[in-house]
Amino acid sequence: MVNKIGDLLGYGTVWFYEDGIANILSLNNVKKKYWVTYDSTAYDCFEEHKVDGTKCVFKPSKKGLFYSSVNNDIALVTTVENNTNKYTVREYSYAKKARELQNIIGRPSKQDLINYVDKNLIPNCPVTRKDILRAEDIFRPGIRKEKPHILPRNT
Amino acid sequence: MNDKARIPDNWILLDSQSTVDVFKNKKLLKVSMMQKGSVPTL
Repeated sequence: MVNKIGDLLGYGTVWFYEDGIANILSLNNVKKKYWVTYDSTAYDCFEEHKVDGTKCVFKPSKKGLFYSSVNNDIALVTTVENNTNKYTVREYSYAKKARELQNIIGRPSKQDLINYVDKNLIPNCPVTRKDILRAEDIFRPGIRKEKPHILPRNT
Repeated sequence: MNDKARIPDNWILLDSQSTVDVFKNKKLLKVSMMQKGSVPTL
């Protein structure tokens, strides 16, 4: 039974199965996230176009498997953080939402964000204090912006 | 299976017939975690 997931940087959540035969991306899933092109008369490669203009190329192996080698793609590869094994997918998913929310509203500190949530200052807020704490545990602490210096109004 | 026939761990295959994304190489993933009692929906 496959019951583990992982996060592929730049792509999203994938299933993790150590005894599998290969790392596999479903074309059907990839095309939901990226513009994918293929022209057998040109390069004979699947090209996954990203919004920043870069692309990931899947070229055919000698036996006809379309693959992308991540040997030199350091940006794609990061180490596994084993301390996240204790969370369920739902907890992880909401921790991601908490981190996304933190980024959207200007990256306040963890404590500030908890205060906003506890005081219900964010309308229809999907996350709770626990999600924020899990996000802090799973992901490294986000880069914080300095608190803005608020000038007194001239009256 | 012959070791020479194995698909390299650093390859990511693009599969037109697969309905799920499945990885075997932990080093390619940022985070791994356990989901209790679930299997991927095919």
